[in-house]
Amino acid sequence: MPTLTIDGIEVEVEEGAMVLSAIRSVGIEIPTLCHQDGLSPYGACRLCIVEIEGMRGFPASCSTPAKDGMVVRTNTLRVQQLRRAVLELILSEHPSGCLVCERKQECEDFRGHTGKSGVVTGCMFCPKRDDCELRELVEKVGLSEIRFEPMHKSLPVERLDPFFDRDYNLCVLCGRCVRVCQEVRGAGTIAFANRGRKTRVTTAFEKLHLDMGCQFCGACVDVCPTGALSDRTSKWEPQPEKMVRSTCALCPVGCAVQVGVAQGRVVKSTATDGESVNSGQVCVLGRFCIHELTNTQKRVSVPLVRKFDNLLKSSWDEAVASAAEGLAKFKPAEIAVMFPKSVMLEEAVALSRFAGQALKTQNVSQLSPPQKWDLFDASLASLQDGDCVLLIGADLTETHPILGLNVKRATDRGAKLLTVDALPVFLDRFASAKIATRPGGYVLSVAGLVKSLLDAGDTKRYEGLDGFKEFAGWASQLSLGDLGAAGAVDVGELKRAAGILRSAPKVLVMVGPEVGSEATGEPLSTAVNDLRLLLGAGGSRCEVVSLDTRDDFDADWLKTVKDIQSKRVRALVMAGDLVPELSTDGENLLANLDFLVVIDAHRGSYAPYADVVLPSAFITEKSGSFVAIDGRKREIEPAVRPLGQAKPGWEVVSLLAKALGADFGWEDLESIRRDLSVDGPKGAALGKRPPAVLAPFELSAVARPSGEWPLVLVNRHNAHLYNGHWIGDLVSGIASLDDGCVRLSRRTCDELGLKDGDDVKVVAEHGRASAVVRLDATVPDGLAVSRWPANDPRLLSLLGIDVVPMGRNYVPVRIERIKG
Amino acid sequence: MSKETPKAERTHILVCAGTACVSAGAFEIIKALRKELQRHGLQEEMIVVPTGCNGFCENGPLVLFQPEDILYRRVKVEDIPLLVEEHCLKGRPVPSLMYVPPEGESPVPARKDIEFFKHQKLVVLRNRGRINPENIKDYIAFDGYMGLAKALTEMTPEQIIEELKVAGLRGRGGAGFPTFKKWEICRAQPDTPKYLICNADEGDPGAFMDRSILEADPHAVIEGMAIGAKAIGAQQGFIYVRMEYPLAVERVKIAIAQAEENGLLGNDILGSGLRFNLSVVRGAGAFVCGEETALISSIEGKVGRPRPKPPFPAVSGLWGKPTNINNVETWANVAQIILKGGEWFSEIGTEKSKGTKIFSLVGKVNNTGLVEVPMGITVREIVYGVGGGIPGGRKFKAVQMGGPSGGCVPASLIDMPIDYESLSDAGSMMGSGGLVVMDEKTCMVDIARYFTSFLASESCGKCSSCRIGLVRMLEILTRICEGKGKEGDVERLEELGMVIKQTAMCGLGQTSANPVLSTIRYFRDEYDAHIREHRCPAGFCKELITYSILEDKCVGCGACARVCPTGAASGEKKQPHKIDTAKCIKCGACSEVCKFDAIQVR
Repeated sequence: MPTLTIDGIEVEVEEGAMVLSAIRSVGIEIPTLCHQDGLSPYGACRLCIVEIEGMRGFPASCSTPAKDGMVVRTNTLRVQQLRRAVLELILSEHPSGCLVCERKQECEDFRGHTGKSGVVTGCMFCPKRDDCELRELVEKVGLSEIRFEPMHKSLPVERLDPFFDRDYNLCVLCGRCVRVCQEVRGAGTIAFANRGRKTRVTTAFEKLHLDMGCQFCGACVDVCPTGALSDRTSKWEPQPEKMVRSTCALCPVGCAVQVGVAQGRVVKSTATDGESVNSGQVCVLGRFCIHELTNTQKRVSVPLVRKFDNLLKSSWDEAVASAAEGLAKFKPAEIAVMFPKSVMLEEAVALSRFAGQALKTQNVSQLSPPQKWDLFDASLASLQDGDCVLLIGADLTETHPILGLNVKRATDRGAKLLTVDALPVFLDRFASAKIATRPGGYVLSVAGLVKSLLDAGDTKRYEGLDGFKEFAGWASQLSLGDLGAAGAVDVGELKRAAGILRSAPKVLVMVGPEVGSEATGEPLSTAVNDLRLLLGAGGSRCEVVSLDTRDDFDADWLKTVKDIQSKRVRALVMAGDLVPELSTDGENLLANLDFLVVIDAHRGSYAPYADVVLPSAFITEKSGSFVAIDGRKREIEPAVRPLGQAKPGWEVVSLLAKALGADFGWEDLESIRRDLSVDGPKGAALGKRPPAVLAPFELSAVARPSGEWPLVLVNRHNAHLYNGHWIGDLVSGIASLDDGCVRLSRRTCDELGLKDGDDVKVVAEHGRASAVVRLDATVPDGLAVSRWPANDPRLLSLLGIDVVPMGRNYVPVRIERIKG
Repeated sequence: MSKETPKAERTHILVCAGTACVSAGAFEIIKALRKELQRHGLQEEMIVVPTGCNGFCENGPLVLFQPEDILYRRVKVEDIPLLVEEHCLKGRPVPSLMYVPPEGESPVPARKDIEFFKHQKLVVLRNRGRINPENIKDYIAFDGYMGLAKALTEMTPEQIIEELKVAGLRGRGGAGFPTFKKWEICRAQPDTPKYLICNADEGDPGAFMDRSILEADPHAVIEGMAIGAKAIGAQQGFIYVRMEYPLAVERVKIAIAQAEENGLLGNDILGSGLRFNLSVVRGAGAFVCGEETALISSIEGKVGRPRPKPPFPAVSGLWGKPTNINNVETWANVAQIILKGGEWFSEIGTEKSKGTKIFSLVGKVNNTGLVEVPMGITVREIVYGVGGGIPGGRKFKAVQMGGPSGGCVPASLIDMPIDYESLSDAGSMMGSGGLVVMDEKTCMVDIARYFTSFLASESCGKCSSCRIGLVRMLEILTRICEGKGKEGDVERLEELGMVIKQTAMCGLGQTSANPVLSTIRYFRDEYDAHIREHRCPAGFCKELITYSILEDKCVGCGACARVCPTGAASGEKKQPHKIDTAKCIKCGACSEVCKFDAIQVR
């Protein structure tokens, strides 16, 4: 380990450490701009220059490796002069008048309101006016004058992409955004273009970020030291007074976030530093949607009661009374209670009890019992130390971006990645093997892997497994070639993947929502379990995680929907926005109801049919807990008071129960948690042990085009759903991401005589839907790809909601252009 | 020598097919020559061979008759019938097509007697103008691949490196780092595979050494790299040529293919078991890609920007693997050193700078072109000897050396020997070998402005001091050239120059202030004249000069009035003319046509 002398202080640092970290380790402050912990050394800003004995010039400490015996001086007169000179140059191409203005302090003390100036000319109009690294640097370096004419780049501010604005007039080209996008997120959406003073950060060919694979995770915004990249919705909000640590509950990954609060409003949310599943990163939901969903105009802030055919403002007393009165008119069997998986555990308990004890109804579409997929008992810990990750139908970057990021990190530390998917996925770029199948081909692909493992010999390894003999007998009748042909899978790639799996001591299998259909679910779960047993034999370890997505509607949901359809259920208490409009008859199923009570934070498509709407607090406004995808419990903390008169969900339910004569004695969250410990699910205990016996499974067939239905429409999982709301209605940026288009390859388009932007009719056996066509080079020929939310009426119509089992995500279709 | 003509011919007609001569019609001349020889039935006796650049570009297209060694210059297609009839048929050389020295009157028939060639010492360019670069047999005929054969059969890698050490070969790309040391470090790396790179991304304005070597003798580079492959333990090499050199790219590709055909590249070179393959990578024209880490990044398919060193490429280069990167000229020296021995090489040149150096001699000099001279030659010998002096007998002012990041050597140092150390002491550098001669009509502030403008637009834009600093310097220089300079501007330039020099990340950035710093050092008075007196002493900066007519010299011939595009020059016949400064656009046309030196520029 090298030992250095820094300003007379001796210090020992790790091998490979840079001089900068040695300097900081002895507590010496040194200004930096392009340096960012966790990113590769860059050495562009030249502010961290030092003098090192025996080295020519003034090396940048951030990118000079520490060597034994180095004598470093960090603050000589010349170093100070040069730093000032360099910073002066940097600021001369940055609208910086305020930074060195002699009346800076007065301005600071009596600052008025900032306007939304189109051009940033100084700090007053800069989105980073309260939190500016350049300003800190000016103080640190001691710069008091800029002797050059300001050099404004006069670039237009880029506002065409969702979520963040880019004003590259403010960019100092520190390259942090480029590096975080490439190195941390693996996306590489942005890079440097041009040279000299024309150098700037942009996408390839200056296309929209939307078209260049940007995930809008906001990592670039968070590392930007200037106002060049700014969160569009929060840039004009005041600087947060406090940051409240909480958990993002918008998806089941449960990332640690901090919520910024200013003047009683949620103004932003970012990742927290430190240990967490997301280790300092978040996705588009956690970064941009939390505050937008909290502050949206579509929040319900007061209780509403239907009077004279209109939903009118009301008091809590009146609203609860009229809800209770309305519900009391129905027999228990005619009432149903529906709530989504995304409600907090406490609310789930409250709603279940309310249904059973206050309404005395059995019709509860509730927190679903452990699914088949949950039977694999594994935590995501293997992402930290596993040697191989196998993704089956898991486009993690779309469905669980932070898990995707963790998989990418696993490959960074040398783990191998294998993907099985009907479509190319983002993580393929890090994969050692890709098994490309067709929709419905997942069982065949896994069967192919199982068969390749057995074919590779080494049967001794598996002999000890329960049921091996019968299983081997069954498998011996299979032919790898046939499996490959049936599943449209490359046999060579299967063998290669099996080879990688076999030689990996620790394998993590993640089964994602794209495997979809329940029809293949049962055999697939057996097949994956067989694979698990085989890979786990002989001292190796194999774990399987099924990715809960929360938004898949299950059998209970379907039953309740059918009961509403048949008018067996006439009154409904619904938390969220769970019943879709069915496009076939243009009627919302909710119209069938005689009485509807909705408990929700946002106004949804239920509005025209609701009789009473009770406003509930959003996740930033309440406490609660939920079981995250890793089986562990997460807690959320309130950052602000509930909007208007909204109340936490459990309180609303409690009020309603009381009005119906059932008092559960809940005074606070603690009392409800005591009950939860009695009859609620517990963290980490959701799973059941999977069977330890190898078992044959049924081989399904892939979807093949036929004369009448030449294409297969695949609907990829849409993760932008909360409480049944597709949040694109509430967060405009999400609507840009989920454009609702049907994506086709160029060849498919050519064959059908379609072009990008055409209005089309998608026709399936059971229904039809209209959509817009988009050309997409990543889509295989013969497929049409949509990303509609699971309750999108178009999807339900095409799938034929009444007859097709739930969870299915592909259907043979034909596509016709709408003339016009 | 060429495969299409196995029997010996009486005469070889060597037509220079370097880029300059090709642009001037060399290929048409070859065609015409062959046709004309055919017409006279001489095709069996005389063979026309296209060769690489002779370096005498000012006088192209060149046609050399061997064995007589008679050189014809500025040959046009119309001259061919006469040339063939006189020289080839009747055996009478044609004086009208021969070179006439600027000061002399009688033509010089033999190439060896021409001043331009007399002072040169050809090591790297030994095959220029004598072999067909597209025919490997020509190269082999002049000891080609003998060095490689020796290295493969008689020498260990250590011995090869030792030979380079004895030779004292230093990098010809700019900094002059000892080549053997670079090889040694790369060889010592445990990590594999290792890569070799030939840097042919010659971006200096007015420099064409690398291009000419690749066009004239591509096999010399290939042979050098193959020897390097054995010494360093590399199996793959890349020649990074800029896209703007299509002829060089083509010839290198042909040469690689021929070397592969002949087992001189490939998986088992000369049956020795050495495996070495070469590919050509074309650059996209960024000056900064001449910097080794930027070049590597460009080969990797990334944007060409330098990265901090260390780690040096020898430790972690292309794709993070040990990489040895040398300039074209350095590689081209290797085979000769191995074949003839390090001792032989070290006898050429000075104590610390061994061998020869190729310069592209341009600017205000009579013989512009490419020259190879021994290290230690003086500026005077190059300018007045090889270069044939300054046109019009004007006064020599300075040479700009080392490309845009080099510096100016003033007339006072005209007898300074050219070697790495002397140049560096003078505030310039060897660089890759650009040599721009300037005379009294060259404005040094404008020269500084020109180079700074080039560097500012070619800065990769990564580190702040170079990206912004150069733009700021350019602003000040432009201001001075326009006569709007302020007191203190020169100090400001010096300050900025030092900031860039001391803080820029890469070698190009650190040297980018040299043109300004060195012109301030030697020509401070010119800066002051611009700023304080609003005067350009060289009479170059448009905003600062006025054209007037000296009455006592003007005879009223009217020549100036006829060429003046704006009607500023006018007057009665046989009466002294006048220039209306309000109309004058300072184009200088009058000055060029006046035979009586009556136009005054101030």
